[in-house]
Amino acid sequence: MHLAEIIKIKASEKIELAIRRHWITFMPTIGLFTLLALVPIAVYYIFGQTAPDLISAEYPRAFIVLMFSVYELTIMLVFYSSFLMYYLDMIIITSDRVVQIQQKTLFSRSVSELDIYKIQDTTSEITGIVATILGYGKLTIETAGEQENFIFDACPHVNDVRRTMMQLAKENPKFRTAEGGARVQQP
Amino acid sequence: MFSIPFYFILIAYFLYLAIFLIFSIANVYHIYASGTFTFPAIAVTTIVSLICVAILFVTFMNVASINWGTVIVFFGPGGILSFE
Repeated sequence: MHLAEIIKIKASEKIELAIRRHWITFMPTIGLFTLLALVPIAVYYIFGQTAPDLISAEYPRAFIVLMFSVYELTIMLVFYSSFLMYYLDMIIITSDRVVQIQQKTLFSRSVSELDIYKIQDTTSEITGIVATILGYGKLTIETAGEQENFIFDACPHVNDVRRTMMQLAKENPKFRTAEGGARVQQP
Repeated sequence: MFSIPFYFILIAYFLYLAIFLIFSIANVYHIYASGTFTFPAIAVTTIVSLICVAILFVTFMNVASINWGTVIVFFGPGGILSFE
């Protein structure tokens, strides 16, 4: 399935940006799971030093191998689930809408939509040395009315995205400027 | 004293593998159904799959020569744990 099918894109609509969290935010997860995956090797080494009879005996060794196998496969499964929850979180900006997809857990996902002409304000926040160097930060999209703001953390090139979004909002045909420069939304 | 055949452990392992397979298929389906079947997703899926295959291969190599008909005896004449 393509993204255009997922968000039911209209014929006159065009996907401008499809944004995921910056890859750097997934690095700690990779580091953690790499360490966890090395635990059986460390345990096997410790057993080899402290209880060599245990791992040299045929049947206890087979049992230990099966337990390590279960552990490692579980680590891989949880890692892949973590990757899914990182990768499936995204914001899709089209010429007409902003669609935010949040993968909360493996079997829980929320999709929010906002007409682009309803955007009142967008804010980009970059905090920290790494974020400043890599140019990612928090993107906040404020709307008129009761709809909750869209917040997207670790947005790559957040300043460029903010500018693009405001430009698209102004160019949207449902948005017009009244006399004196006040912004007025089409009914 | 009680005893269980060693292949009970293998059956439990296969049950775990069945659950693992179900969740793995659900994960891959999520990638496909959410329109995110992109190169990075395919690359990570391939790498994780290869690591899982390697884990299963190493496991098989280590347990292939075991006589699964052996009986584990708990609190028997051979001690807390013995194999017959």
